[in-house]
Amino acid sequence: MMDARQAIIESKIRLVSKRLDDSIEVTPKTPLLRQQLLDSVELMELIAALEQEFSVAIPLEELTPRNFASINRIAGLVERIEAADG
Amino acid sequence: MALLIEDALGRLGDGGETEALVWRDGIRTEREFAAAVGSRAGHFRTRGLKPGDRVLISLPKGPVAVECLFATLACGGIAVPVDPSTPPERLRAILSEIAPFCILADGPLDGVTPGEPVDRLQLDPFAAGQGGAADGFAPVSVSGDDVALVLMTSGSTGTPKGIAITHANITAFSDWAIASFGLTAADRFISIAPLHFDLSVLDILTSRRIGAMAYLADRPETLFPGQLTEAIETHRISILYTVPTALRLMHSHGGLAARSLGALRWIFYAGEVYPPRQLAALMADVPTPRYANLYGPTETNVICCDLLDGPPTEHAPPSIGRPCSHSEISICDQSGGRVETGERGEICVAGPTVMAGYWRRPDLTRSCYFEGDGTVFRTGDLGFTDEQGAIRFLGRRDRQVKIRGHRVELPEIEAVALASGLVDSAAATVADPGENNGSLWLHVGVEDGSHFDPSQLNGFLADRLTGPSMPDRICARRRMPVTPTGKLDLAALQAEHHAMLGAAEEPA
Repeated sequence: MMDARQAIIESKIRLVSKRLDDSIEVTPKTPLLRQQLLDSVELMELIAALEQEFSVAIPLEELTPRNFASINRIAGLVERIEAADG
Repeated sequence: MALLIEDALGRLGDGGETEALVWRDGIRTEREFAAAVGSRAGHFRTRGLKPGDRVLISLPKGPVAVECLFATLACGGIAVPVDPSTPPERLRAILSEIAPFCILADGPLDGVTPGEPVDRLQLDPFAAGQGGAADGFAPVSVSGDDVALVLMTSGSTGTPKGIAITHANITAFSDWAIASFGLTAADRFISIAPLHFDLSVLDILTSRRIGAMAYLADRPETLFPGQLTEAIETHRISILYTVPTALRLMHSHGGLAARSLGALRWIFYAGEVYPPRQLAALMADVPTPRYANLYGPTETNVICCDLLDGPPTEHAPPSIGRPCSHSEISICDQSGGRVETGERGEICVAGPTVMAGYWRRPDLTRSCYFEGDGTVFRTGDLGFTDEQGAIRFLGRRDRQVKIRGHRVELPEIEAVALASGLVDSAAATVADPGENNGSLWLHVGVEDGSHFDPSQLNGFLADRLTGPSMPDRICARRRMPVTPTGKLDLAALQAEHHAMLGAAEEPA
């Protein structure tokens, strides 16, 4: 099951990814990058969408393969930044 | 003159504890690299790899993949690097085309079903280095005409075809690059392109030939422009060779200009046209290195080079510069006759970097030459020689279309749209080109869409294009689809165009 934040992240990923159609299921742990569900341009688009949706600024040093490996990891990143912005 | 592979294998171990390969999580010193290549080559030979056998390398970019590449060549084998995420159908087609001796993979492969001959193809690359077979391993001697690499590419028919590249081919390119750019063991390369991309002949093969360090960026890393720019800074990279899309992202989203780039000597780009406005911005923000546009299809590697003194200013088809010293370029008409300066024709080349041919496809190879001639290779790209002797690029031969009976060059429309400075990228597509009512769309990418005015672009185009070349529709979007190698995905745009017209059939 996904929580609300994870569900929003999934919807944004579906919006930007041309590979991910409705027939492909993703879970919070699906390896987004390893399965090549996002290309470099789509990732930049996703980051912009996340920043707008959650009203956060993701610092350049946080834009790493580790932080974007899965929906779970992305949600964790957003949560950390929100907490820090407090 | 020694072959690239002889130089690279001959100097194995020189340099001892200096860095040979660096990646995010580690380092191989020259000594470790030599030991690993020797050990893997010994292992391959024990398993029965013979000269001329193909080794399919389906590994993520990293030290193991590079060691396996050199170990294959040391055995006289032919390395066939492929994308580890090749879809099953395509992988099957590649297997039947190449008939490899083995596949090197780090896990089960989609599309490879158990049973003969697949069982014996599975060979764990990580098992190498256990047996100490490196002791006394002597590389097989090869000749320049022997095939070193087969790079897979899509064919127009949908069946992948292999571009067979000889040891002499890669050596000729490498000789030219070393001499032209003054490459030395003190240089530090970054490998951004995948291993199955011909940019690796510079990043990986040439760096190993001269004993220079190469930083290996794996695929996840290349998705994050900030990670690449960090690696360029941290590892004091001096040679950066990539596609314009990747450079643009490093500039716009990766903070490239804010990095400390004192070591960076050269930025090379290849594979597609750099939009003039973005190139000018990059050159202004990152002024330290010199810039060069390297041109040539995979079949020929680099055959023209444009050393940039400054950003392109005029609204003209992009220059790909002058022929490399190893290449004799001619602009030919359809029957192979040379055309005059300023006249359009096909860019053709003779020289030592031109591939041996498509792997076991003599008919397809012959189709790249004019009838009755086996010396002048047809690139399939169109261009002309300008008054200064530089070659101007007009795009692919097969993107020349007829609309309402008029000949239209789609790349020309794109070049003009880019020259307007109003858009970041442009791609023209035609649906039902054979019909009188063929429709021409111009897809444009506008990263900051708030100020974009299609009518302004239309006006700019109308001033420069003939009526038939004017798009029926301009479709603006913030981002354009790109292929795995970072080029604009024309096929996706074409498919979208067809779908939106409700065309029932695929384009021919």
